Amino acid sequence: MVSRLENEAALIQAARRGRLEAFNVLVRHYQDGVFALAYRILGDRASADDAAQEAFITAYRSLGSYRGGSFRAWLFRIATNACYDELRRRKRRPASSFDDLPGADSDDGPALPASSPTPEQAAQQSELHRAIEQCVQALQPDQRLALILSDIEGLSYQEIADSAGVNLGTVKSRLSRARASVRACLQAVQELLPPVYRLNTNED
Amino acid sequence: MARITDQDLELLSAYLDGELTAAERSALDARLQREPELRRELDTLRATVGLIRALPPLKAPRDYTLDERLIRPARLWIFPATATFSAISAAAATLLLVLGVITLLTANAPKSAPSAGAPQVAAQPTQQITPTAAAASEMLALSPALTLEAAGAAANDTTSKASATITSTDEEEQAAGGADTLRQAEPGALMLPASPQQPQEAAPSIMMESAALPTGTAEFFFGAEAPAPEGTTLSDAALAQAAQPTLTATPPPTDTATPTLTLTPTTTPTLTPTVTPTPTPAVPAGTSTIGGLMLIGGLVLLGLALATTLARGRRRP
Repeated sequence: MVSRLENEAALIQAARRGRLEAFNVLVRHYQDGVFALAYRILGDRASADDAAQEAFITAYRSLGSYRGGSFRAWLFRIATNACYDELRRRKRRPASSFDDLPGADSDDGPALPASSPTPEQAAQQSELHRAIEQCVQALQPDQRLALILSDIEGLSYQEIADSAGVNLGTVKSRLSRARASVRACLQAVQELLPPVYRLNTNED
Repeated sequence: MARITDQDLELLSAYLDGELTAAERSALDARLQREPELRRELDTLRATVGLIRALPPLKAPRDYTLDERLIRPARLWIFPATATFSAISAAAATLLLVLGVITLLTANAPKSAPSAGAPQVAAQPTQQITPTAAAASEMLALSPALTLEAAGAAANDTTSKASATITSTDEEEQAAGGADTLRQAEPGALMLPASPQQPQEAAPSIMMESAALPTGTAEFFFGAEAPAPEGTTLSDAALAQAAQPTLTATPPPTDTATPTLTLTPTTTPTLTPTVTPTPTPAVPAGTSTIGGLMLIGGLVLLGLALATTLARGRRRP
């Protein structure tokens, strides 16, 4: 969840006039979010890297079409489209090995947070994160996007609606379905997880 | 124990995000007080969201800052390798290929078929009507342009409703000249007989038939060659007028000016000698060449569209 950029409007204005360095301030501010979004949609780092770069190039060229409102929502919309383009490309040219598939174990996942105390806890956490990621990956694309934008990127419902091009009601229902699906998915695999991470559904 | 509905789930989910209205929120709070099932649902949902939100934030593996090289569109030699360029090339290629094929097919069609787009094609139906106009006269040798004049003359001479719609401009004065002028038609032009004594019922059927036929077939019907487009004197205005008689030339058979010409040799014994086939007109010089050039151009553009698409793909890391 990225803090607001103070002079965002001025930077956008300058970028529109062709000031590349102004746009690059925006890029640095949002690139982690854009990459995370791409990674969660695509499931592998190489594709996410491509899509993120493509998204910023497209965003710079399309600055004229930005009509105010949340710049982040607008940018994420472009990034989402770049990811879907990437998915289409991938469909045309199927992954040559199983390793390329999203969620495959060989994918060098995100770096662990520096605060991991012990190797064992780190391993458990890593296990948990992998389980969550796989459950998120298993969602329907529309629901997954809503969940990512809300619970990973921290967008408001209105921003999600703007970004995904749907109305607020649709955002609400997609998000609640997505969360329910992830919950069911995690409950199914929770015996693999240490008790502290389990969802307390069966307690009475 | 109440079942949790999808609507409940939506409420709970929005509740977690603080996206409920005050009224919805207090109503849900009250329900949560008395429905343990709903409470449990909320707890597990909150735990799930908590787990997702606790995923370690991802860092971009590198800077995505742009430089001039990145924002300059990819090029293939002098052509921009953009999606737009590829799309336009592909569209233009398709158009050229289709047009080229049509042109070639037309040029190689049976020699009696008129070349595509020749003005005479549009003028053909008029020639059939013309005998109507020159109702009282003998056979006439008509060029397409003069055909209209004849029709104009008929408009003055007869009560034909069909011809009356023609509002000829400079044709009017020539119309006064009547048949004399018309006889001076260019050699090689279609000659049509007009004999008012022919059975009346034959005429309307033939006209309808001709109207429905492709003009190329109409030529066959006459047994005459299409005049070559070169040297035609048909103006746009004349062409526009040519269309009019075609539409209005179905007067009731009782009309005195009813077309009396029968165009089928079987009903008109005198037709055969009166039709003078045009010397074979050359298929417009270079039609095949133009068609060929269109095909080549289309293929080149198609190649360009493919190449720029590939160049764009290669640029990707």
